[in-house]
Parts: sequence; C-alpha cells; structure tokens
Amino acid sequence: MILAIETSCDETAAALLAEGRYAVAQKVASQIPWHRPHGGVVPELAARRHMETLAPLVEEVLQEAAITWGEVEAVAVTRGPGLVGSLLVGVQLAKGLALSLDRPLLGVNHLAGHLLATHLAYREKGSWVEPPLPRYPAVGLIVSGSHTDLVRIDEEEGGGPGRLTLLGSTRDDAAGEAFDKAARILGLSYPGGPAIQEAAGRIEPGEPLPAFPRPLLGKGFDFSFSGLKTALLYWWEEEGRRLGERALYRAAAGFQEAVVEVLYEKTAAAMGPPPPTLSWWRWWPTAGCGKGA
Amino acid sequence: MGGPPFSDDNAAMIAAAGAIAFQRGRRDSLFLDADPSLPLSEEGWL
Repeated sequence: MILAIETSCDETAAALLAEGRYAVAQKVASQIPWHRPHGGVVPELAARRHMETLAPLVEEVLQEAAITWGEVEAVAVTRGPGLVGSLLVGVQLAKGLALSLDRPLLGVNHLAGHLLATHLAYREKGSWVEPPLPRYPAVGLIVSGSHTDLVRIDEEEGGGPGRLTLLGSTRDDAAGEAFDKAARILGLSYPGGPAIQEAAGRIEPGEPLPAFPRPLLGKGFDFSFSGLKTALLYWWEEEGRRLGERALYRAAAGFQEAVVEVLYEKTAAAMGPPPPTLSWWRWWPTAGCGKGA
Repeated sequence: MGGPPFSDDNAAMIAAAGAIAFQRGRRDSLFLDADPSLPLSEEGWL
C-alpha cells in the first residue's frame, strides 16, 4: 500500500493506493473558497492552508481505508513542479512519515503523476472500473492552470512508461491561466474555466462566434494563449460589451473553441503516423496556479 | 483513460507514479528537496 501526498498548488490531497492502481482511499481538500476573493491562487495563503489541512487529511485516508500505519509500504510525495511553499509542506510531512515509519520515500514529478493517472482504476456505482493500461510509446497532453504541455512517453525496457520528452509547452499563459484571465475580462467568476464553459453552453445552435485567432496553429508543438486573450479583450471592449448578454455567451464560446481547437490539432499532429496511443486528454479548466497567481 | 475523479490535482496519481518507481526499486533519501521548477524530462523520473 502506497501512501501519497500532493500539495503542489491549491489542493491538499492524500491517497492510499493498493496494487499500483486501486485508490482505496483518497481525499482532496480544495482551497478555492480562500483564493476566490483574490481572483487567483495566493502562494502564501496556499501554503498556510496546506499546513492546517494536510496532517488531518492523511489520518482520514488511513481511517477510510481501515488500515494501520504498519501497512504503509512507502510514502510518495509531489516534489515539484509547483509553488515552493506548498511543496515544502507536503515534502516535509512525507519525510517525517518515512523516517518515523522506517519506510521508503519516493519523490514524484507532479506532471508525471498526471500522465500516469491513466493507470488508475476508479469506482463507479460501488464497483471498480479497470481501464486498459496505456500502450507505450504514447503522447500525453497536460492542461491546467499552470501547464500546457505536450509530452512523448517512451516505453521502458521491460514494458511500462519510460523516458518523457517534452514536445511543446506554452510560451506565455497556460490554457487554464488564459481561461482565468478571459473570465476576468468578461466579468465572470473564478475559477475561469468552469465559468466560461457554463457561459459558452448558453449559445444557440448556429449562433455566430467571434473570429478569434488560433495562435501558433501549424507551427510546431508550442502553445501561446496570451494573444488570444488580448484578442478577446479588444473584441469585448470595442464591440461585445455594448451588445449585451448574448455577446458574452458568444465571446465565451468563441474563446473556448479557439483554445480547444489549438490543443486538439497540436495533439493530433504530435501523434503523427504511425499513431501511438493518445494516452491522456486532461481537459479540466481549473484554478490558476503558479505564474498566474 | 482515468476517470473524472483523477482529472484534477489529486494524490492517487502521485501514488500511481510512486508505485511504479517503488516496483522498479527506486528509493529517495531523506535529503529529498522540493523543486518548484522540476523539469518534466528529468532523468530517472521513475
């Protein structure tokens, strides 16, 4: 049984994993209510909330799984990338637990964790659903408040995931960060991803959308969303704002469509012929973190 | 593909990566430090 701790940004999380893929207990304590008034993640506030929340959360997952400390085989923890103050809280607790339990310590790259979420079984209606394990080599796309990364995952000798190669990443704003900023321009709430998605869902079929640019499309695997956000700002200030509520929905839908199209097209291009497995499509517009704070 | 519960930041995904590293015999020392800029393509990530 692996005990894992994640505190890279604004979610305090702990989990117990059996047989490499069954999360027999897992908890996530969101900090969104604390950061919402600031319109983004405040690093100092995030670290303090982790300090308050993490140790009780770890105890809760052990209780939920009904296991003892002695049954923990190893302690895994996110060591980066992320907010330094937040990471330190998790790493220090993990080191303390590994030392006191006399168990191995495993530092994990947060982004590799996202890619390997594809290995996890999940519960549905009380039963375990076991998706087939990914075939490697594969291409993974990580999209969050602080990352937009396209990654090639080689196959390790003996099978399973191996070397990671970053094919492309954002040159300026991450996709989630761009959503937060776009939501702010349109007067929508934080986090911006869900707010824009909700507004975009209100357009009528066939309703014309603003012609926003598709940055760097067809130009390699890097991303850039800063210019798209600026295009939204200009359209909203010069035209959209005076048109009322439906223009807001159109702006949200047009922005979302532009971001998703760029993500999709670049991922498809990265897969190339012959296609490896599209391992993971993480599309979960979420709270901004890191440089967007 | 993992289910929706694992789409956002969570510790199960850290455990999944940790479990593979553990199986392959990796062990980190207690001098392990947080690295806010940890590169994705670091050597020996598992």
